[in-house]
Amino acid sequence: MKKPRVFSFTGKGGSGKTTLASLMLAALLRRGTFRDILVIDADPDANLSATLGIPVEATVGQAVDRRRNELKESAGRGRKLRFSLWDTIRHDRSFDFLVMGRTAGEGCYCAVHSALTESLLDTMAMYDLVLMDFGAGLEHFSRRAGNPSDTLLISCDPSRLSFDTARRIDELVRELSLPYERIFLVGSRFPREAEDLFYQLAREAGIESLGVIPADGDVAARNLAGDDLLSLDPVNPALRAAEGLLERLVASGPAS
Amino acid sequence: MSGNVLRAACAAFLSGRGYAARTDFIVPGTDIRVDVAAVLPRMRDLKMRLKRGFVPTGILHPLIGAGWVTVTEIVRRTGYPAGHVAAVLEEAAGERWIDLDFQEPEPRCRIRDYRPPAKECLLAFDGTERLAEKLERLEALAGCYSRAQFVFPYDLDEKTTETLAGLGAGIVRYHREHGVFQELVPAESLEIDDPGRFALIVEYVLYEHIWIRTGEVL
Ligand SMILES: Nc1ncnc2c1ncn2[C@@H]1O[C@H](COP(=O)(O)OP(=O)(O)O)[C@@H](O)[C@H]1O
Ligand SMILES: [Mg+2]
Repeated sequence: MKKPRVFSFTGKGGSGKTTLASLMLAALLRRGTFRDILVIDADPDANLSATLGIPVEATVGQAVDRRRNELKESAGRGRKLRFSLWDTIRHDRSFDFLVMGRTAGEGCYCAVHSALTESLLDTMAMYDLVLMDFGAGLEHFSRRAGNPSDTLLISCDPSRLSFDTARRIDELVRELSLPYERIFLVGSRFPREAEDLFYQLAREAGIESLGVIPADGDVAARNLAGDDLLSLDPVNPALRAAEGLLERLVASGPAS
Repeated sequence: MSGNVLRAACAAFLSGRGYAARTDFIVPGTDIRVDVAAVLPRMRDLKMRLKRGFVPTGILHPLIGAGWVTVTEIVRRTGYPAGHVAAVLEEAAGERWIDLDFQEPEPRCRIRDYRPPAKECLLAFDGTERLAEKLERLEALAGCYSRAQFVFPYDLDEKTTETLAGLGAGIVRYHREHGVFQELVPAESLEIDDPGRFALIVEYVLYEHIWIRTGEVL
């Protein structure tokens, strides 16, 4: 039986989750180990589409709202949720992309949501690798549903607060016994001279560190210009660092 | 335990994991029966079929991975009447799955960049009855599946374990009382070198599966 590898990205808002996920994707595509890749933007403040250079046309949230209305108002006529979820997936040349977005009925545990979870799990099973960019919020974790991941990567920028957030996420994961096989801390946007400090803070937080993505001028400039991160120069130091992280992840990972 | 229960449980287990499964599957155009055929879809190609329809591989499978093939050859390989083959080919040409070329002395056709809608095709067998015969069936299907596994609701003796593992087949222990399928020997991943029949199996199983999915309430 085949099981997809799932890498999830989390951390304080602005700590570099989306940048990290995008750089990892760029590294993955260059490496070519995984054939079918699904990238999920599960952050309600979605910005992966910019770093991947793919405009958002539809979100899962919209599909859920539409279906809920159809069930209420037109006796369920219309496209079934599973199929409109599939419609929502965008196909880039080398990976697929899905944006969760928001639903009007936030926090609802209705039947439509459980059907969504079910379909999402089936859908994820069709891929060799799933990358998920979570929001900063911890509600995804407490919600739990539809959240199978072998590896959780927590992004930390050079701020106390982001290490506090990382620690809280780590505690919550333990408290809820969430099924992550591995949890790593990644330093984002660290100046070279502060890297030792990252490793020290990671040790204090008691979370294994995977490595550091250095602060990079080109990455920052592309963010300002609204340009994607998939077309970075192959020798870009941030991209090279992501390749190093990936190497460690794949080498140490469970067999796929 | 009856083989029927074992097959049903195995199909349910696999379909709960994203596979499209089918019990007692007779490979089209043959009399080979597979206890459970399970297909893991590939999203892009599945979606293409939801738009354009599934590929009529019952007729088209000889074209897959083959270049130009004469209509006579297709009739011979599929065993369907010539009139039926011609009708399906014309329709497939209309849907742009194939190119038709009415050259002399006989017309021929070829498939257009075909990709199967599945990543993998897993064949599972109830290992408790007629094991030798099932191994023969599996051999007859060589090259058109990705993995094979045998399921047993009891601990298997060493000799059979070795035989099966030696063939690259996986061994799964089914704990009926707990509904657990335990992979004791993982199945080897095999090359598909009969892409036509691989396509035939996966298109059939997926088509039926999707048809059921359209009946979901939500
Ligand atoms: N390694 C880095 N080098 C330079 N700038 C970075 C780096 N990582 C993140 N940034 C910048 O930090 C800001 C926040 O990053 P982002 O990835 O959007 O965070 P999050 O997704 O956690 O909210 C963005 O402007 C981004 O360009
Ligand atoms: Mg973000």
